[in-house]
Amino acid sequence: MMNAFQLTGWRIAVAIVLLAAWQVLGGDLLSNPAEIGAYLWFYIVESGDFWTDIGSTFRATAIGYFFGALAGLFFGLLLAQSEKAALIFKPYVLAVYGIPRIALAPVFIAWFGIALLSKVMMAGMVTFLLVFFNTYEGIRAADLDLRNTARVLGASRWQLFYYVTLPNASPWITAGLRISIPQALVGAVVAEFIASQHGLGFRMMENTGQLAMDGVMAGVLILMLIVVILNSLLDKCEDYLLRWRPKESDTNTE
Amino acid sequence: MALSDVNLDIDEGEFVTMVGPSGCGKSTALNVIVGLLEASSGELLFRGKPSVGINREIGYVTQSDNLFPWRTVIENVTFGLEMQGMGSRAERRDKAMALLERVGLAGFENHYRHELSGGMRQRVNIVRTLACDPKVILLDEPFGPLDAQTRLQLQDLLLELWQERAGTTVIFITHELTEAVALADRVVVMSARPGRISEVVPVDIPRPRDIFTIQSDPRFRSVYDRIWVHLGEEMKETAL
Repeated sequence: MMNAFQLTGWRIAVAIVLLAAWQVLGGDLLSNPAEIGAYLWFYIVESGDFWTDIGSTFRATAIGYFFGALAGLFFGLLLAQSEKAALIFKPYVLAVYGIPRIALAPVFIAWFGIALLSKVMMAGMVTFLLVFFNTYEGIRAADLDLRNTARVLGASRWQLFYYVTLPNASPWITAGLRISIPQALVGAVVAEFIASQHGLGFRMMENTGQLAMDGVMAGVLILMLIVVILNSLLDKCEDYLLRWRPKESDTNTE
Repeated sequence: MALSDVNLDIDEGEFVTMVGPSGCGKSTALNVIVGLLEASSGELLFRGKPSVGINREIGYVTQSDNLFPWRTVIENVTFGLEMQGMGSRAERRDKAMALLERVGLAGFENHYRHELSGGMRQRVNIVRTLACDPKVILLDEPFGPLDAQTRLQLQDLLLELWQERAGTTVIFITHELTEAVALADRVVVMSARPGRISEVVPVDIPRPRDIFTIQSDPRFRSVYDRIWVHLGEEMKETAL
């Protein structure tokens, strides 16, 4: 096995090779790292457009995520309460979940206009579906033995829900809340692609229109970085919230 | 129908074990007693009164530990008290700590389930039930998945805990005849399809008993052999 130092060394080596190859081989359509770097300097530092764009995209993502998650939690918990309702609505839930969410972007532009609202709705809808579905499944997967144990120990119906069903579902719910953050961002950016006046997605479309591939590639790079950073932050939150769960590396001492 | 004709009177403070082949409805009987299941016919009397629904004076220790994995050891032990609103938070924790110390788990109170061995989990499970001071404790093969040595240690611990609590009744299900005889005042032998009581055998070995040497006691042997012959006939019948 390699040690951590060697591992980092190899990873950096791979990055250098890839970037060098890109620099040498990248034609007009791929741009190259030097041009992209120059564009990023201009975009972020000289013109400062980056800050308005990312502010606009983040605002749409955050507002949409907040309300989408709230609604997803609420309806997921609600529907999971009733055996009958769950049974009746199941095919519809599955059908709605099956819609390619990106396909709704043009519809949302038509309904909510080209300003902030359509991006918020797009991010919100993506979040809603993911959180709703995960919450619903998590609550439905409640462990019968644990529920019975709690009942014998004197838990009322409400206590059973709050102290057993909900924590039992928390890995599902957390997963829903977690995967929907990058998805909400993608939702907002896609809506910006179609029609908008600001935002990271808008800038990418503008650059594509002018065949300014350095700008387009810079946009891809920025989105990639944001998602990577978000994911690692979310991993930390999740580790803390679900600290009671055994790690995969733990060997069970039976 | 899982059970039929199960008539049994159990006295306060008695330690009763139930043995029988799998499928004889031992667990069903416990579920009815605690109130998780309703009997389709017949009557369940608790201290002379009909018992309906979950009976909070009964504790239930299941074979799988059923610890809440999102709660620490001490939070598991205080669960019942918390649900029933008994005592302040500090009082509940003191009581739980005392019990954990009693069963040798001091220092593990802030561990989660996945950090404990099987024997430790089952000790927490037992203590969680004891925390509510039940009048009757039901145990459904509580030491089933444990290794022989841990099993003996926990049997010994269980007897001590029971003797410290005068008047507490225990109904203990097992498929291990040695365990059934060693622990019990009376052994209830059940047979399968439908589950029914085929024999009730008293065990006249004085207490306190030494669980580690009891098997060499001639009285143990005679009760053991008597039930074993009975179970053997039963098995031949069902095998055909």
